[in-house]
Amino acid sequence: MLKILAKIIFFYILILLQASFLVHFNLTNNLLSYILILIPLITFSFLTPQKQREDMATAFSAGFFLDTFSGQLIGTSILVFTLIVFFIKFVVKKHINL
Amino acid sequence: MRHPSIKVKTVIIVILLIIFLIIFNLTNLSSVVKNFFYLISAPIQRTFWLAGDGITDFFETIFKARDLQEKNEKLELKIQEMSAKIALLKETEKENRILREAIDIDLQKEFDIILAQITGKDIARDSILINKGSEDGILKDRVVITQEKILLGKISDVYKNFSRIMLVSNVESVIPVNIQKQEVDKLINVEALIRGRGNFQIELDHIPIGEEIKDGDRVVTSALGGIFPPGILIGYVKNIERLGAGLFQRAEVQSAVDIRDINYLFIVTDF
Repeated sequence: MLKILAKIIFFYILILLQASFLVHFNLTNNLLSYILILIPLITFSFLTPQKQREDMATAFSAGFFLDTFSGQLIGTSILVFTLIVFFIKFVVKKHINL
Repeated sequence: MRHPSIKVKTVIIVILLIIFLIIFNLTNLSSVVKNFFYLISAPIQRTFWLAGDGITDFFETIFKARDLQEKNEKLELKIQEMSAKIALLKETEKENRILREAIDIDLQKEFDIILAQITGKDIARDSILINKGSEDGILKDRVVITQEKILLGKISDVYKNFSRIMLVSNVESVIPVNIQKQEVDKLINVEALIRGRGNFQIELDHIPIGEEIKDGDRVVTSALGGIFPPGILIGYVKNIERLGAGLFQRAEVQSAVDIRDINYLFIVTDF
């Protein structure tokens, strides 16, 4: 539970950084925002292949925070991230057998 | 009872999630949630914002410093250009004023004149250099006067763009003159010679012993010799010496002009 909370806080801070700090350096557009979130998200998914629910919750939270702070409709990033994590978990489970 | 498979479960969850999100966005709920997160995130966002702002300001200052330096250099060049133009305009204005004054005193009606500017003064040799030369139609021995029609000297050397003027006070300068003395109701001219003594000193010589002249009498050019137009003021008589045994008197001439104050002068090309 603490691990999930830590991951959620990590993404929360990361998105706040994007929204308030990196905007000064013209480093934020939609694609970059997604890439910045997806890199740790995918890494976490590979590092903990057995914890599907935990990673799905993290992906949901990351998507939620990104949608909230980027001003777009809430749900867009949630769906993208959860589907990506779900797909990764599925691939890992089926073909890698960790 | 048979439990639904994981695939069915997932599909149901996804469908429910989509429905929930649609409702969430359509109602005021999303605004309330967003507002809540903005509120609790405000202090952290403010900190990040200030940090980002400070860092970008720092880098902007560094990058802009180059631009500022370039801009500054360009502006300095422009200022120099403008200053040069202003200086030129001032000179032109001054020349125009002097020419207008010359017209006012009928200098141009009386003589053919060329305006020249003094570019150098050789005080030790009582000569001056002007910015007009053979290209401007200057010839040797041409008479040089001020705008107030006071004699300065004559052209001694002519170069392509410059000329040298031998001042009346030059030791090599000897000029036939008339001393204008006032007698009751008429002006009498007494012929004499002036010699330069150097250091802007002029000596009046060959004044006939019988002529009564006094301090303050005007000394003007004479037509003798044909070099100088007659009647041009040179100065005023002072310190008359009456030598007992000689045939002539001597005196000093107080120049009517101080060469140190002059910047422009006229060369008389014809009279």
